[in-house]
Amino acid sequence: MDTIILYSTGCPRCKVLKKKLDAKGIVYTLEENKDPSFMIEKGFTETPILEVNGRAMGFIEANTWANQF
Amino acid sequence: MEINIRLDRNFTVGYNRNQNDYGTEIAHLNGFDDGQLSYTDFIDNFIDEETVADSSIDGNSNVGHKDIVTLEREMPKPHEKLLAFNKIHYEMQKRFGFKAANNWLKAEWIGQLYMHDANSATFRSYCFAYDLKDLAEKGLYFIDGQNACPAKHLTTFVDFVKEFVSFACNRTSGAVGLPNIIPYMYYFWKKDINENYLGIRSAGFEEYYAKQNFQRFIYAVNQPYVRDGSQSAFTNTSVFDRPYFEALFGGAEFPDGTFMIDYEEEIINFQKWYMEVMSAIRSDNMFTFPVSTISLLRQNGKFVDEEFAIWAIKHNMKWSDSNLFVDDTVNSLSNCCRLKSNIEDLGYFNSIGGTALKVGSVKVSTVNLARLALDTNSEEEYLEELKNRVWLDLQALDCVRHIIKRNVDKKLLPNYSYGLIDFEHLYNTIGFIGIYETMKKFGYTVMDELGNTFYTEDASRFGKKIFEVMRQTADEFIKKYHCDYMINTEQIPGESAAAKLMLKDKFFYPETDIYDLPLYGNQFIPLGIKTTGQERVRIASEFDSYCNGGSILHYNIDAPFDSFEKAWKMVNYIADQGVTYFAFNTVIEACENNHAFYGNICPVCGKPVATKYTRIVGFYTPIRTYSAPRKAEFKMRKWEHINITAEKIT
Repeated sequence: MDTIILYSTGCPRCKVLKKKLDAKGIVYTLEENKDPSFMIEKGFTETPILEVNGRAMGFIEANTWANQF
Repeated sequence: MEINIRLDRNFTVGYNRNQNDYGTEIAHLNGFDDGQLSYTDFIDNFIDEETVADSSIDGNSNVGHKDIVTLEREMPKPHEKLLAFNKIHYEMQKRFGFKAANNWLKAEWIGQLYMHDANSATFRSYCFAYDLKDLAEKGLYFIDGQNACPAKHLTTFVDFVKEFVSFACNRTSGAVGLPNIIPYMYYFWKKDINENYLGIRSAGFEEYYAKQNFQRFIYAVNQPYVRDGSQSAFTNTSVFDRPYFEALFGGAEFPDGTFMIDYEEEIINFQKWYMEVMSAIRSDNMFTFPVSTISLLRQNGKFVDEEFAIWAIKHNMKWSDSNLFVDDTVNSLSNCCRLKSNIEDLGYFNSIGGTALKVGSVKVSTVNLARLALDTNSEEEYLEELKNRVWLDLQALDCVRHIIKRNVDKKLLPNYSYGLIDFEHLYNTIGFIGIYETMKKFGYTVMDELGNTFYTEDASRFGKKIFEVMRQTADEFIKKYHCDYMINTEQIPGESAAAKLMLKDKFFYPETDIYDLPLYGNQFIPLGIKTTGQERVRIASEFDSYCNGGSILHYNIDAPFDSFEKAWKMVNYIADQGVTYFAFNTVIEACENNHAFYGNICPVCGKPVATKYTRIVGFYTPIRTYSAPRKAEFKMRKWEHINITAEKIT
């Protein structure tokens, strides 16, 4: 089973991705905090980030991934 | 018979003192001489003057028709301005003391400061880039007493946009920005096509239907009675490359729960149709609005979305009618998904266009830097006095903001009550004008043997200091008064302010050599001053970064580009120098039927040139509607032989 983590600040794009994951019934762990510092510490430069089996994807790639799931 | 207007006693004392001290000439420039305040005299003068811009106390070339409606609208402006100044003065006394109030009134009176749209300054705010989400989801929800329903079809949505623009522009004094109109038009278009509305799909009229509705929108905003019944609606729209689209609209949802991002390619194509319609209409009927901006992301010397950049630059060759916004980060237009722990601003804002979504300005009040140069004799004195004037300017803006907030509390501004605009997304804007004259006064300009003017290294150094002082003063002001808003700076277009401020300065300083033009320029090197294109670009790139975006470089060109390679080279060159917002500005001829063309004879109807269009300050308007000083300034403008220059650029 894939390990999927959604890193989110609750921004509009985060919400879009979350809705898509939920609609597709994809099981994931949500790491959400309005304070973006937890994502900055991980070296991320944008929100949201979807990590699938350790591979981090930005919004556009994650959106395509979710659409094709 | 005497008709009284009850004004604050302290204001009246200050007003009378300024009238007595500076006489009728300055009073006239302020719109406060007896003839302007007398309705009967105003009517006589209005009839005698050639254009509305010449008779108005706050004219602009967008008022192209001189008729009974414009007369009715212009006539009360001096009285409205009087009431507005009385209110600001009164508010300043309460918030900052009697002395500050009097200092502000005097500074305004004599031309050190300039409150824009003064007659409506205490009634409505300036401009905003609206989010059309609510309009798409709820219809005309802001009109009382009607059972608002969302549009079901594209045609209805366009009608709603027209109503929205009318509602919004009559409750603000500046531009109505519509950054996401195209994605929402796409949504309703797609819905109609999917449902085969009126048989459009089965008839194969999909593209025609979209283009017809773009045309309806463009014609609607250009009708000369949308704002105040006397002028068209100052609107702006943008098209975005893929990175900007993804950043701005990646988080947006359509009314049916689908996501904009999933229609990215279709919307990119839809944008192109929109721009094609805009271009095609000009040949039939040259128009002014909407001001168009193309936003392109550029990183490491290349356009990230090269396909779109090539299309856009090629498209813009015909009329040079779009401003180009080129930046190296998407954060400038969209800060909602950026990972910065200290979000410092509300996003890029420029009153001409090209702004981020949901950002605007309460009001602009300008510091006349040319006058400051005339009033001072050393850099130190200039910078010290600059701080004082910016501070006073910010106090006045703060008062205007609070007065408008109270108007909202009193339910006088339904555009706020219904959430079309909110104060959270509004800057207070420090305007500036007269950088060139400052440099000239201090001897920081040089002329080469061909008569081209250049800024010296001292100009670069001093310019940087000027912008730093403005920024630092704004930061100190925010800190001292615990402001819950942000302050930006803008090099103002100054359509009428540029002439009035120079006339005031000439009154106080008749003998000085800084008056090279009939008015102050709204470019770092005014368009009427001979210089090289490279120098304009160099200065713009240097100063742009200091004044957080509020400027646009106008690059005057004598003709359209004669090849895509040249257009591509010039855009790349200017972007590589670091200029964020720029436009190639040219002269477009129009016949008496208002067909736009280049040359002497209209290719559509065979008629000769009747007028010419060029960007007066930010948008194409016919020169026949310019005020007298603007017409004189137009004659002095220099036009670069762009196709020769582009060949030489490496």
